[in-house]
Amino acid sequence: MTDAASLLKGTAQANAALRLTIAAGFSRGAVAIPFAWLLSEAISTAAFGGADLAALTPTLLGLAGLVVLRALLTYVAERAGFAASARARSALFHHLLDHVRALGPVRLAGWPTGELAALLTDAVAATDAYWRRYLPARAASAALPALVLLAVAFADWRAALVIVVGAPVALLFLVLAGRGAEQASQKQWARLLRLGGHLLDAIQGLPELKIFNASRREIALVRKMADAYRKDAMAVLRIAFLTSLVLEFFSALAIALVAVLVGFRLLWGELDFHTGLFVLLLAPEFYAPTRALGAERHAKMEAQTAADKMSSLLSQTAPDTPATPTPAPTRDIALRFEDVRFAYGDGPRALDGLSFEIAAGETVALAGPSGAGKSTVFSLLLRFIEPDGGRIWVNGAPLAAFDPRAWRGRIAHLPQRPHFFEGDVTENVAMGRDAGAAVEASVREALALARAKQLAVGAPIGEGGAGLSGGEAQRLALSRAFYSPAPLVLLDEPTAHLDVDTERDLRASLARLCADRTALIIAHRLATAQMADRLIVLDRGRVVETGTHATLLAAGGFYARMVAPDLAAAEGAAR
Amino acid sequence: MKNLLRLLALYRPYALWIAASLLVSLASLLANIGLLAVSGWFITAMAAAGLAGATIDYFTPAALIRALAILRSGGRYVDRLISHEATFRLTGGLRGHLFARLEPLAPGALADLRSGDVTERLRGDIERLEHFFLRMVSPLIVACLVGACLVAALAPWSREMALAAAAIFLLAGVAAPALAAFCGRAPSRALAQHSAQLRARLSDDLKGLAPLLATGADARHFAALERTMAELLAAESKVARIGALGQACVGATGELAALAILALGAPMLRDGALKSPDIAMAVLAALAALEAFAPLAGAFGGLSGALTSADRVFALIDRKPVVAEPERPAAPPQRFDLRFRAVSLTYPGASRPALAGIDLDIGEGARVAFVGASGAGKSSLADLLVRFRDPSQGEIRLGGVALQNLSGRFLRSRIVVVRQDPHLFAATVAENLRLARRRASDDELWAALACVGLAETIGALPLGLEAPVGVAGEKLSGGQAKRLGLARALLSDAPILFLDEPTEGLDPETARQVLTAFLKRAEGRTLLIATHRPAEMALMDQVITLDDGVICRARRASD
Repeated sequence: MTDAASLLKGTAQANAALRLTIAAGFSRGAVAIPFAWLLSEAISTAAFGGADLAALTPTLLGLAGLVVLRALLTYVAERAGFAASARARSALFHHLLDHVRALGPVRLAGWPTGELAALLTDAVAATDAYWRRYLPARAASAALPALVLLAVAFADWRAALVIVVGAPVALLFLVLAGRGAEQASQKQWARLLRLGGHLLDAIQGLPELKIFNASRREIALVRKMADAYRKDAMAVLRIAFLTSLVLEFFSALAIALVAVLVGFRLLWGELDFHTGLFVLLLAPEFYAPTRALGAERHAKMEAQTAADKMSSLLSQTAPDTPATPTPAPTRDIALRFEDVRFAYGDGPRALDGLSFEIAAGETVALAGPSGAGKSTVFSLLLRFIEPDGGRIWVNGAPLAAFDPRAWRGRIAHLPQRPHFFEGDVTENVAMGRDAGAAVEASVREALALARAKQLAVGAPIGEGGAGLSGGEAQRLALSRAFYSPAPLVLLDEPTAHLDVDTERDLRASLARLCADRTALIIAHRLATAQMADRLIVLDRGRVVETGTHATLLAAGGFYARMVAPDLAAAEGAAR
Repeated sequence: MKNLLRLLALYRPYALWIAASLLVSLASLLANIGLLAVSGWFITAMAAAGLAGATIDYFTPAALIRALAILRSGGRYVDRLISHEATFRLTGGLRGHLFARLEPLAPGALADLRSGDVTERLRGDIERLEHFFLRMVSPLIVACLVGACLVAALAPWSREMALAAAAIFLLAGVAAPALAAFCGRAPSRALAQHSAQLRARLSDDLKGLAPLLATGADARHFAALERTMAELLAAESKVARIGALGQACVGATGELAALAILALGAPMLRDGALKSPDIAMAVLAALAALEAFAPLAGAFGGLSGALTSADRVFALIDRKPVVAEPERPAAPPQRFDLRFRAVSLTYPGASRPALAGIDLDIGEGARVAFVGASGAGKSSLADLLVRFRDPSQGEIRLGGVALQNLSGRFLRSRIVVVRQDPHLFAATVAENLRLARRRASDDELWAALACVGLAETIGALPLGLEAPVGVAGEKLSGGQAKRLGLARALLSDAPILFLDEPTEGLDPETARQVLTAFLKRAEGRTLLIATHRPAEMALMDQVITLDDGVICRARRASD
């Protein structure tokens, strides 16, 4: 279910509740007919029959009973409506979340986090009124007017004719106005999403705005956005108000016409008062369901624009996971890239025929200028993306044949910008791989291996790693890698943000991490490059050189030129 | 309660709009009631005349019916336009006002809040305040006025009838939904918390999607998300149940009042104290009064949510900045040498100082490298220099004037910091660069980009300078984003630049090229760099080693 319409179909469970709310809502509306009949009878006998209170009591009690019944039906309709909405929204949320997971971070890079979060919360919430009010109101507006009209016609067909005469015009107008409102509503929704994204961006960038004394401009911009939002919202609402104006006009017109018609027929003695009053009481009921629907029309538009937005995420296809996946190897992982090509969107090739081989147990460093494709290699290995061409082999089996989740379980990954979750150190190191008392001990061991002993296992961590310095964050990320028993290690600049002394300190631990495992390291630092058994030097998505640090230096090629300045500085410092 | 009054006070500038909206709203509701009531009176009178064979003036009531029909439809339309316009003006203004209030607070006084939380206050909470007048204040006032009008109209006929109608209006129409809302306060609060929690968790998990998937923790985290969603819906269900009860009571208001009037009126009819058209008129008016009371169920129901939102918004408005602007800023100094004297900084709640007893003189045009382990205090120095925080003790002087005595605006025109992870706005390359100098020409932008080695990369993009960098620079690699941040700093005229780990994440060759070019471009400016790279320390005049917030070694490059 990816297209917008099918998103609003609901689930079987939701639809069961929906049927109940529709039935209750319809019955509540239908109660108006016996109520009008009894009430007009009571008034008629009191006004013209000279009845006293005692004679009226049975009718009044019947009326009171109908009032209670109506209140009960209101309650049932409200509850069932909520149940329908909750079930449908819960299913939508689950569906979206599943898809986000299937797409992964790289394919979702075009979605700002704020917008994606808004999609899962606001957009899902925006369908609430659709299930809860719009659908029941639509069902009621389809059936109730006909029932009311039938009752009126039964009493006096001329009055029925007067009531129904405005209906085609009202309907035509509703359809026309509805179309315009839909477009305007879509525009407004897009702007609301943009407003949210823009506000988040501006708030995150407040320090930079301040540093560059640019806050005033941004404040003006936020004001302008808020103002544009108001104008858009009013444009949508004006159309919505216009439709209700038309309905209210026809409703009032029906009452006025019926009153005059009934009045004169009563004067001429062509109608008895009881019937006349009954018809007048029902006249507003004919348009009431349609008016109620008009008031909920925005709910449909909101739900539809929300569904369109959701389907734009859902239509982004995730690769199929193999139906019968090959079991991923649990140890001794050997990798082979064969003419692998990849481009982000319509951009230039990030990998352009990349081929290399890594033997099991080898520690290999990827080197090359920024933009050479190093991170793309990692994204491919993590199955966040799939190659546009060429193949990746793991121990002779194609990588694509593994279940991505099972395969990722074989990888310990240290990304370039590690992310930490609000929680504590233990949660951020263990990452829910297992639970139990043993976890804390293992986490302690991992922290020790990463030289991060200053971090207590229970120490709280704020959003995005708030409270951690850059170096601590790197060490915590390293601990995460150390914690995992995975046979393949992917390290992206493991020593970033660490000073020279700590870096030296860590090298022994890194060697231990990589021992007995296959390790691929993106290295910018000399020390890291020297640590590797072998270097693969990339440039513009291709391999330019391979060899050990020493042989590459001796060769005096691309790599030697690249590291020359750091080498010179290191020698200078040593002297 | 205090915030309720504050919220109402916000509407003061729009008092005229509000008064107009209430009047129009009242008129249109009364017109609707009048339409039904006069119709009821008319047909009863006509029936009576028909039975008696008497003549009757039917022109006046028929004309009145037509007039009321038009007044009713038009009135509703105008009322909606006015009230929505007023509300949107108010909330739009509030958004701008709140964002403007954030500027002096950031980043020090906002450090304990998630950026998503702050955004939600500006967006969602203010959105909920929109409904405060439209769906709560206005319906309540108008319903009370309509009820009062009807009771006043009944009073001359019969005190009992007026009292009964008043009691029903008050109990079923106002007290029942108010009571429901009162009982719903706690669940509504819980609901708001669940909603905020879901949003916060989602934002955290979406940002960390890569490590979640890579470690397999996605199963646990996403299951937790679904649980949070289920909790949110359960909380909503509680609120909805109470609301449904209120709704059921309110829905009976008009009918109950109509039955009471009929029961009390029947004996009066027999006595001749009332005429039959009058009783029909009163009963139909009572039935039509439902329209005034129907919105009250939702009105009271939304009140606690609106108040929670108001609390959150006001709490943000009321925050105090961690640094105060001087009341009378000192005259801007002509020199731009820096002098630190016994500067210490302890973050609130921290047990140890981040910086302690820093004494430092940095001459104009000096080039100083700060080295030291992470957490040694290098970034704290940068925060002090741009007055994101003030020293807990000691003083920093710029050209002989204490930073506290300079206006923030002036200070930051003299000192620019490139933070470790500079924020790039979801705008074009050019817009991000022009943050530092608004009127920079394209040539100047290209020169700055060339200096950080980005000219070729950006030039290769189809849109060039006008290419969007994506949200938080996601369309650029980490190294490219960092360099764009450096280029931005180059464009500013500030004579003092502090670069916090400017080349981290760049390969050595690029790092060397970028920094060498940067130094050349920044000739004459004071350059402070926090770095780990030996190659970079070698380019500086002075290397200062920090350890645990204390200067443990300072050496000149010539030493």
